[in-house]
Amino acid sequence: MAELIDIFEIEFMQHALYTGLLVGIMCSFLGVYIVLRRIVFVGASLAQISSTGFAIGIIFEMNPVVSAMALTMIGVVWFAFNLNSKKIPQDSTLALGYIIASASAILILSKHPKGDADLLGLLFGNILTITSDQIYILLAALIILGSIHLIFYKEFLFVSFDPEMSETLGFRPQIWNVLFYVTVGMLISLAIKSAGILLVFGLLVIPPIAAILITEKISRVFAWSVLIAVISIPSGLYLSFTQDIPSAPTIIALMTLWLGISFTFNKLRHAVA
Amino acid sequence: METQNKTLIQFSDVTLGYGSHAVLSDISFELFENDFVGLVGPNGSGKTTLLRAILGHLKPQKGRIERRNNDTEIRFGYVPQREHLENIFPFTAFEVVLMGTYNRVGLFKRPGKSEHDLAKQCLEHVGILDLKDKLFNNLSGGQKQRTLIARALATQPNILVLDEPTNGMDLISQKSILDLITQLHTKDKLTILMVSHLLTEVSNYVRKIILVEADHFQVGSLEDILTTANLSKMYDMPVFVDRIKGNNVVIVGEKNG
Repeated sequence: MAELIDIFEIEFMQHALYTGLLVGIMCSFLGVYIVLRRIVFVGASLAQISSTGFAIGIIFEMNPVVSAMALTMIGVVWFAFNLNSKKIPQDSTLALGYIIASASAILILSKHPKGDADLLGLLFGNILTITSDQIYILLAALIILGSIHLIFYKEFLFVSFDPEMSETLGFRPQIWNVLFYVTVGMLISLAIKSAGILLVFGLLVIPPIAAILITEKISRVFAWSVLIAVISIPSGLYLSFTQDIPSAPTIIALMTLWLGISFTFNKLRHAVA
Repeated sequence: METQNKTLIQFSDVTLGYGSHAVLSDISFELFENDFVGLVGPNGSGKTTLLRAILGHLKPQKGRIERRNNDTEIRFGYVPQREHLENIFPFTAFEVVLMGTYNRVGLFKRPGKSEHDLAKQCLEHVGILDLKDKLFNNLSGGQKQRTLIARALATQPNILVLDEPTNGMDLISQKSILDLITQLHTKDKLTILMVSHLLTEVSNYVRKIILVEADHFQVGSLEDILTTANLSKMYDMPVFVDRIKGNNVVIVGEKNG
């Protein structure tokens, strides 16, 4: 325990911990909607679109967070209005976004002197080189996105579960959907620079699935999902530091362990019932 | 002398469709207070389009749709098709019914004690209060339908609209749900609009029929619509209407038979 505390007294590890927790809390919370609405590929596609925005920022020497957010918002609007097309299936629309964005990021960075390193940075992130400013930006994002989702908790759940009935009661599902995708897009474009595509996507998917297997009450699904992320991140960072292994895959491996435990628990519960 | 009930919704020469494509053209009819109406037609005939217009989700391309209840606001209690819901969400039956109170709760607020009490009353009214803590996903088709009807009642509606309420149910559950809907009409005096593709089933419960079939649109009392002559003319083939043990039966004959 003393060793654990010692490690997190090192400044860059402190920064990594704060960043990991902020990204983890937001991704694991919004991930519940992403998994339950069956739009997991939205997370993957937006993450990839965001990375293309970063690549554009690097090449044109702009602020990459701004270019990533701008391109992600374009992706958000495109998805919000095209996912229910009668001609193109939803998963094909998402795959289209993913493929085009991935290829674009590689092409854009291919002629850049540090292209390979930049691409690896986008994929795995660099949680150990976070600055204080980046942490404050993530904290502000947590406050804004968290407030939106706590205030409109019932609205987001209602339009996700039954858009037709919500429309009959005067809610505007299309508007709520756009707001939902905007919050997801904002989160991904902010989180990806520090945590990388792999960890962000992992946090959006693995804790919510594990939580759904643990509990059968919607409010507890959110709580368990966040808890799994919050436990896995410091443990993963500690293991990564002490064993000298990459942090993002280590955190994902620990969350997968949680998934295994949840799966076993769910099987046992149904066997007993 | 029978008095005419108040008009709730009036369609005047309405054309409905999407973009430049018209699905239903120049239709006119009225929905009255305390009506019990079946909206019947095959899949793809325009039932859903008409339903969306009645609910106010779709604006007419042409014509006028008026809501005429001057005394109180028209409130729809809508029961969607069960297949349209995201069934993976782990909501209990009670949580699903509570959603029906969201319009009176308003933005920024959570349902309070009065909404919780109302949700319980609605569950009791449809006979499934004992299932309130069960997961909606784990309920049978009939129990899910009762939950959705309870949710519609929680909106405190004056028109109950049900979209294919007995789809995919066994005979016993079908009858049980249709009896419940009839009870809501006769005892609670609710105006009912029931959408179905099964003419025989609907004809044994409703008082009025809106028949939507390719290029045909008819509105009238059960006695006017449900006749061998009318249906044979409309479908351009022999359609027989008979009664077996007090129930209407519609049988389609051979075209050249």
